[in-house]
Amino acid sequence: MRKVATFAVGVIAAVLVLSGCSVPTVNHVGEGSAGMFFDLPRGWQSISPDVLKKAQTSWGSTDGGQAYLDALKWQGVWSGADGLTPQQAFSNAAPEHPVVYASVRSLYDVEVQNVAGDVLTALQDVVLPVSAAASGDGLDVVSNQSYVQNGLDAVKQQVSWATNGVSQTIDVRLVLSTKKKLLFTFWIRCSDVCRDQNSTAIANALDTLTIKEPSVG
Amino acid sequence: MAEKSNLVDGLPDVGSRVRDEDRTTRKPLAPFDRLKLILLWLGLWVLQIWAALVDNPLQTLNDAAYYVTSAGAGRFLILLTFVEALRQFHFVFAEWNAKYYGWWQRLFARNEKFANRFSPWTRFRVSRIFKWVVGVYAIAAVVGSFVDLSPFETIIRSPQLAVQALPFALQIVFYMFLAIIQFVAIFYFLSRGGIEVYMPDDVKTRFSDVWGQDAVLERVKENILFLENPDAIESRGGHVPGGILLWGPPGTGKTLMAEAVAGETGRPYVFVDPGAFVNMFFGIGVLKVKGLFRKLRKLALRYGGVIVFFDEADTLGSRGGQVSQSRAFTPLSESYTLSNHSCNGRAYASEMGNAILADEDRKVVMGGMGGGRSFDGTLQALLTELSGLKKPRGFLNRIVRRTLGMRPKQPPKYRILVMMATNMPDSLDPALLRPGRIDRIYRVGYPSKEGRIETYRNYLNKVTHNLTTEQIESLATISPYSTGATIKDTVNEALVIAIREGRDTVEYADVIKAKSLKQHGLPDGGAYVDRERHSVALHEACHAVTMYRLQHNSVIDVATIERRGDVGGFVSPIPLEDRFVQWKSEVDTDVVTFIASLAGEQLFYDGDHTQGVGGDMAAATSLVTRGMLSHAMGPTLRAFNASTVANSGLLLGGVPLVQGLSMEGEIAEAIEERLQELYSKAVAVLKKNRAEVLAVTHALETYRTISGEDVAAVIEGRPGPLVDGSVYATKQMKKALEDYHTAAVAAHKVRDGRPPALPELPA
Repeated sequence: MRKVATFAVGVIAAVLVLSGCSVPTVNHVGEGSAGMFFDLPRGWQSISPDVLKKAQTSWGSTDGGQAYLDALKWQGVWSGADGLTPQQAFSNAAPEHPVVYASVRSLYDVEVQNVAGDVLTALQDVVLPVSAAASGDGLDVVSNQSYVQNGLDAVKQQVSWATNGVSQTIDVRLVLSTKKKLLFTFWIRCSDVCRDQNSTAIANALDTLTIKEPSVG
Repeated sequence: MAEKSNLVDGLPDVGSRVRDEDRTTRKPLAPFDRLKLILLWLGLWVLQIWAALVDNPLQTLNDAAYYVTSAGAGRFLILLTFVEALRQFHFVFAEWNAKYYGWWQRLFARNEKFANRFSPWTRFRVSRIFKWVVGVYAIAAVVGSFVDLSPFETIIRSPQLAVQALPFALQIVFYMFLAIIQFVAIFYFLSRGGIEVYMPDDVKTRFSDVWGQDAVLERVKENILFLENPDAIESRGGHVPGGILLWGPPGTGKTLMAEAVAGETGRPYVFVDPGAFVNMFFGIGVLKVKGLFRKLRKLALRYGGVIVFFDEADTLGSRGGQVSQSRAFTPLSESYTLSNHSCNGRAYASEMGNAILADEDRKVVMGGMGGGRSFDGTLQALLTELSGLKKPRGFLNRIVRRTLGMRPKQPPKYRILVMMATNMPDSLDPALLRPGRIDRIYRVGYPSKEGRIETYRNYLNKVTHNLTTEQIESLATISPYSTGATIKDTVNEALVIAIREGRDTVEYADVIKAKSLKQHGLPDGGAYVDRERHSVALHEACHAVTMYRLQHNSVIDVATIERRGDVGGFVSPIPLEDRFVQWKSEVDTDVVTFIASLAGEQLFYDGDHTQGVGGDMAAATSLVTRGMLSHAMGPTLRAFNASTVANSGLLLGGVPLVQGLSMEGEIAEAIEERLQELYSKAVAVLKKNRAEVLAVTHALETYRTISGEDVAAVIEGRPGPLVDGSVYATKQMKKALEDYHTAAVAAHKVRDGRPPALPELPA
């Protein structure tokens, strides 16, 4: 009888342990093979990698597009909106919900040469033409500076612009690998209104951004 | 009430173990057995959480546990854990509650009864289907997890997935193929070779080229006839004999006969090299046998029949390690004439006597040394191919027809004649020699006299010679154990002698010299000192004269005093006819011939004699002992076998014992008595033939080596082929020889005595 009781206690304890697993509030995005991790609110949806790649392939017929796809090692798009399409994710229009893009790619040859010098100068125009914007080209560069992310050279930017009268802001993080062969790209953008509504989530995503280099790179 | 008795005093009686069918509750499980599966599933679940934590540095324990438990394998593991827990609860109740346990037992019994309604074959098929379904689902689930599809979708799209994976799969197959093909290639090349196929007319030898083996040749021809025309026997209800074994001493024409078959037959002829099946790796021999018979079947179908010849069949057909006592194959002219160190102890005996003496140091032929080792399955493969189950052949015939519910077609009749040749038939496996595999066994022995005459004539006809028919017949007479190969070699050696002497024509003397050279070897060329030369010549002359006068069934082949190794000289006889038993009188004659050396030396040297008689006396003693112990030629009727006699010690000069009985007295005295009696006889013969002994002595001292015919000529005082014996018949010569001998004996008795010069022969 004692043995039965011991057994029952053990099982109950296991059940309690299991039942103590409460539902997480955030989604820990990232893969060890990619080396890039960040938290997004639970419930934000992602675009299927196949759909994304298919769309990009159809865009990649222009010069540079195919080269970008060839250099890609990992990427993903997330959004607070349901059913976001790749076209919507990368369009110029201000999104109503935050759109997050993260990628890991190899540097192009010319970039490898450029990053040997000043990192900020080399990377500031990767996502948006910030240097051109500095001379007043429609983009309002709120911040553009280099920093260190997880011991790696990085650049962070905040740029605003308006499309059809609707203003939006993008926060960009660009991180170089130790050997300056890989570029980790992370940006999150949405309209100013959406930004106010999702400031915590956006701040949390940016704060939790972690780069843990994979063995290759 | 008395207690039950125990096995060990003082211990309580634990009673007998409860049978399963007598239990009212389930047998309790050990705690670990209850928990082991739960621990396993939980352990795997924890492993999954750990992997999730390691993979993402932002992951918390709570979140990792949630995500692992809520999806995929983690969920399945938790489910398994609950199922196992439920199961254990069930077991616990069954162990505690008899009613509950009984109910389950009845439930299982009903299920068993239901299942037993179906036949075991049906249940097997149902379970097989079930296993297939589960297996396919499991594989689909695993593959689906890699390609992000559900198991059902994976099954549906499996052809597409297989095609997509084909390049990778083909790569794997290719690498495996590379690894396997190396072994295949090695074994393929190792299993090649050792087999030659001759088509009709490739071989020039014909039956007419085989001499001296007419009887066997006729039987072999008969076999070929049946192979060429199988209807001749099959239409009468018989079958074509499938195998022939030719066995006999080396050089008797077995391989030549096979060559003749190859030349005569209109079928392909496959020659198998003896060493073909001796291989480095196990299994190669089996492959070779199978490859050989595959080729034979193809040839048989294509050409209507095929002949395969295995030379030195003991290489393949022996299981190895067997001992063969091939006494019958020991020719007289081989080592036994040179086996005694002090004198040629056995050459004076007749052939039968030699055979008896040969039993003492019987030649043991290890079948395993000359024969092949067949513990690697080669012999077994051969036996199966020769006469195993006639299995259907071909993938389409065997597999496809059976799959379609049809019986495979039986193979056609392959006409394969197997010929084997060996000189060690004792070492062949008995399974090989049974009818059905080897239907006919023919002994190819030494040629008869007529065969030897024909062989000599045919080989001499290939060179220029001046031998007469009588001389050829004489040659055949004095070479009783010569094979075709020996005769061919002798004629060739005679030609070499003729060429060396500047002649193109081979003469009778050349052949005699060649024969002696081949049989006895080249003399050392060393010379004796004069007085020893005389004593050695006298010793041999005593043997020769005694042999000539007393032995009626053999003639002298050669007498010599030239040293050959450790042998000082010898007189070798040749039997006039092939016989198998010897009379007591003939044994006595042999003994007298042996003793003649002792008798002669003592007679001619005034009681003195040399150590050279040792071998002769040992041989004489052996013959007498053997006759008395084994052949009832003594005072008793008792007979003992050869090994007992050999171990008796008498022959070795030790303490005579036969099966634990002391032989001193009875048999030992009889042996000595017989030897003394025969000694006296030898003395009598030598006394009567004193002049002849001295004549032969002189001839040996002069010519060193003389043929048997010349010995006869000297004894009879007539001209011989090379020595003129008539000079010894004159009174002057006889006196000269007597004087010479007397002087030699006188010189023998003084220190540094030298005998006079050898009397010269008149011109």
